[in-house]
Amino acid sequence: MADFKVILAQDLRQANRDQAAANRALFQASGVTVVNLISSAGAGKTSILEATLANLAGEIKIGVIEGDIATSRDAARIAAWKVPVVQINTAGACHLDAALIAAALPELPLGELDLLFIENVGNLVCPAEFDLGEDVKVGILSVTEGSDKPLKYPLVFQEARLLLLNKIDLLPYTDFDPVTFSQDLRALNPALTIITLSARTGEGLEEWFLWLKQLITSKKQQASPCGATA
Amino acid sequence: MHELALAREAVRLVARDAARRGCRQVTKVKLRFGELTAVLPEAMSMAFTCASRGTLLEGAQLDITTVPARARCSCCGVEFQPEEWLLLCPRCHTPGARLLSGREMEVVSYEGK
Repeated sequence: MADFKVILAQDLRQANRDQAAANRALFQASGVTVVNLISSAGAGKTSILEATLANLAGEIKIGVIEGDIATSRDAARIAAWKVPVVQINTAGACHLDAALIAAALPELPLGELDLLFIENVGNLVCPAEFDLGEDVKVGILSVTEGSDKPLKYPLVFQEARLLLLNKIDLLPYTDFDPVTFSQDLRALNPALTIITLSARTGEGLEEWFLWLKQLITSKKQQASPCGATA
Repeated sequence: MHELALAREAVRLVARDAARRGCRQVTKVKLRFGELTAVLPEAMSMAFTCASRGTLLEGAQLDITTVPARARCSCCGVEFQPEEWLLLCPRCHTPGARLLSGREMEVVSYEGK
């Protein structure tokens, strides 16, 4: 065969986008609201999840997908709350992708769930690039990480619909500047909602729970736009 | 960043197309990344070497182009090269301009024999 050249012009994210669309269709058909939690390692994803399960698991049917590079420690923490949980170990990969989620879904009773949390791999950069089929991305930042993070790691703050500012009880011990932080976020993403909380003391958690309940309600209304029941 | 995942996908796309055409060896692969994707060409190059091992693409020359970011202000319509991610219009200072380019991640083309 002689030398030849082929113009492909294919997007490297397209295969993931297609799988994410298939996941989204499945979530829609099952009537489950899906929240993708993204933060650095140690910002408090699992602690916020535990506090959420402690308060809401009685009234809302919640499932969890845990993404970590290694170990099933987080899944063990979550399983203690008696909710369906699947652990994905990415074996080195820095983010979850739509295919990993699709592989985990048969392990969950999707039709019985109101809400599915996907706890992404602890990383403020890569997970923001990959659509998993979720309804919303929720970013979590802790005050100990510093108020300069939105400008340094912008994509997650632009992709997220809600930002949880965690560990607010530690604010007096840090140089975190709430004013600059809010200004930077507003410039990056004017539509972003911010909730300030502490998973440890419980401060601000009620507002987060209310936001979740409203999200589930609005998703269900979208599914039946007239609000009609049979 | 996630260069390895992207390199694997590039190898998968090119290898699939090349195999279909009966290509014996891919000699050159051209990729394009927007400057706001945080993809490092050096890391991409190393990831490609690893991901292409044992495939039709092994040993292929890699050509990576970086696409500059461009944005258009949603208020006054001016086109500009954004600094960082704020997308702040240099003329009317409105934030949140629409990004026209800078987030590309593409296999543009390949050459083979």
